[in-house]
Amino acid sequence: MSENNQHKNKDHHDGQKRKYRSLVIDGTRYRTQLTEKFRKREKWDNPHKGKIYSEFPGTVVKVDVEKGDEIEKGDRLYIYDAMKMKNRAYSPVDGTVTDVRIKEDEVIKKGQLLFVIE
Amino acid sequence: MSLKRKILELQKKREKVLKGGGDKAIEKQVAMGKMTARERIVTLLDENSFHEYDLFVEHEARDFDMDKKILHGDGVIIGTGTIYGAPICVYAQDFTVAGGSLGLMHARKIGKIMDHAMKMRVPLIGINDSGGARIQEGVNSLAGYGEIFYRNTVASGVIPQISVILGPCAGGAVYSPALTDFVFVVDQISKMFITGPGVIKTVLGEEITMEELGGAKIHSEQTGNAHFYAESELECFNQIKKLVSFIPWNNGQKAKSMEPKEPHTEKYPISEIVPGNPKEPYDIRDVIRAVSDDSDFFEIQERWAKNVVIGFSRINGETVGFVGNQPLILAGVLDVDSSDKAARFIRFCNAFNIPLVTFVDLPGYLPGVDQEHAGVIRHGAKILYAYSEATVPKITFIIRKAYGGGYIAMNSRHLNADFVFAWPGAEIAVMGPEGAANIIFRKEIQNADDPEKMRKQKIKEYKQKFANPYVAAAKGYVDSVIEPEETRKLLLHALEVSKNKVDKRPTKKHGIPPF
Repeated sequence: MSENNQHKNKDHHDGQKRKYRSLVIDGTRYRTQLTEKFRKREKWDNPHKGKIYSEFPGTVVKVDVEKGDEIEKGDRLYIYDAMKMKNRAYSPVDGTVTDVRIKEDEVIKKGQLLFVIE
Repeated sequence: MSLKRKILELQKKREKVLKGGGDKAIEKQVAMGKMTARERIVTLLDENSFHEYDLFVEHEARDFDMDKKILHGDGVIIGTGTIYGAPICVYAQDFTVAGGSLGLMHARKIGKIMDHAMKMRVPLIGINDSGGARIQEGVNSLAGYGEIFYRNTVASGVIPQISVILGPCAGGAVYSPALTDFVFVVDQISKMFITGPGVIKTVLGEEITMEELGGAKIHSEQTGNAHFYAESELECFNQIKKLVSFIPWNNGQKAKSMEPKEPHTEKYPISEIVPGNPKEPYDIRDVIRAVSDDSDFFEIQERWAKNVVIGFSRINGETVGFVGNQPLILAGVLDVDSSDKAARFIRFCNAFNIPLVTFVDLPGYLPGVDQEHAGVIRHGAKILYAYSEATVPKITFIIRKAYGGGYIAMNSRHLNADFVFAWPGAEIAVMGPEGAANIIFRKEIQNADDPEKMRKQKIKEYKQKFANPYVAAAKGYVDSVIEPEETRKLLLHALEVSKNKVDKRPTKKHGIPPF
C-alpha cells in the first residue's frame, strides 16, 4: 500500500475529509493544511519612501501642502486629532507633492495613503 | 426578641438579598440566554458545597444619588465550595445588580476571596459578567481593579487561577483574566475588549459588532486570549471541572492520581498513525491518545495556533502535560503564535509540578517576512526559555523530523531534557535533505551535465547519511532509538525514574523571559 492510500484511510477515521495544500520549507514541499491567519498574512511590499501613510487613526485638522508644492524633508504635512491630542506629521523626504488624498475634518484610518511625494 | 424571631429575621434578610437585582433583572438575564450568577456557582460546584461570604455587604458611595441605591451584595457573589472534592474559592459577578459594575466594596469582596484562596492554597475561579467600572464611584473603581490585578500577579504560579467570561468583560476589567492561567469563553455570551464598538465607531468610523470584535470565537481562534471555547454555559462548566481534575491545588502539591487505565490501542494503533514519508501529514493528537490512559487527551487552545498541540493526559494515573508539533497544520512549524502558546503552557506545568512530555515532528521555524517582522526571534525564544527553565521531569520523543532550530527548541537534550527517545524514522539534522543538499553540493550541482539529476542524487546521498536518528544517537544527544510500540512503556519508565528528580538552579528573584 502506498503512503498515500494508507493515509487516506486514516483521514476518514474521525469522520471528516481533510483538504491538503502544500507548504515549502527549506526546499521541501510538505502536504498539510493552512490556517486562516497564514492565508491572510500580508505579503511584503517594498516601501516607497515618498508614499506617506497615516500612522494612527484620527481626524484631519489641517492639511499643510497642496499638489505641486515643492517641499523639504521636515516640512509639516498635516495635523490630525487622535487620542485626545493634536498630532503633527512631517515629510520624511524632499520632493514635489504629486498627490494629496485627504481633506480637513476627514476621518483617517491607520495605514491609509495620504500623500505622494516624488 | 426571641432567638426564633431573630432567625426568622435572618431568613427574611437572606431571601431578599439572594434575589440580587430582583425578578425583573433576573428575567432580563435569562432572556439574554444567560444563567444568573448564583445559578452558575451552584452548577459549577459540587452539590450543596457552596458557602457564601459577605452576602450583606453594602456600598458606601454617596455621590450622584448613590446613597439612595441599594445594591445587594454590591453586585458580586463570593465564597468557597468544592469541585470533585477539591476545595475552590470562587467569585461571580452578578449582572442583575447594577450591571455587575465594579465599585469599591465589590472589588474588596473579590480581593477578600483571592486572599483567602492564597492563604488556603486552593484554586481560584472568577466568573466575569460586568458592565465595567461603576462610574459613580470614580477613582475607587480603578483602585479596585488595580488591587485585583496585583493579587492575580502575586498568586500567579502559586495557586491555579481560572477566569470564566460569561458576559461583557471590557476595558480594564479584561486584564484580570489576562493575568490568570486559563480563560473560558462561551459562544454568543462572552465579550472581551479594551475599547468597545461604540468608541471604535466614534474614533475610526468603523462599524463592528461586539461579537465580531471580541466574541468567544475571536478570542479562541484569532487572539489566543481564551483557552477553552464552549457552545453553552453548561458545557463550559464541564470543561472547568475536567481541567480542575487534572491540576494540583497549589504549587506545593502534585495533581491527584487517578485509577490507571490502558490506552485504546485498537482505535489508535501507534505504529500505523505516522506515515513514513516526512512530507505527509497526520494528526499528532492520535499519537498522544495512543499512549494516554483511556486515550483521553484534554486539549488546551485547540482552536488557536493549531500547528502546536498542548494539553493534559494521564499516564498510569498521573497527570502529564503534552506538547506536540502538529504536522496536520502548517506542517507543524513553530511560529510567533505557536511558540507563545507552547511556552506559556510549559511554564504552567513547571510551576505546578506537572511532568512535560514532548512529541517532536517539525520542519523548523516558519519562514517569511511577516514572521520576522512580527518578532519571531523574540517569540520563538520564549519556547527555548520555557523548556530550559523547567525543572519538572522533561521527556522527549522525536517521532519524525527534527530539523535545525526547531530541533533545539523542542526540549532537546541541549536544553537539559531528562530523556530523549527517537523513533527509527526520526530525521535529526540541521535541515531537511533538499535544503541541505542544495547548499552543500551547490557547486557539484551547478557544474553537472544534468543538474537536476545531480541534485536528486545528492539529496539521496544526504538522506542516507544524515536523515536518521543514529548521527545524533552516536553523540548521545538521543538516549535510545526505540520502536513506536515501546513508547508508552518507556514513558512510564521515565516518569517512574524521575519521581525524585532534583534540578537546583541558582537563586534569583526571577528570570527575564522574552515577553
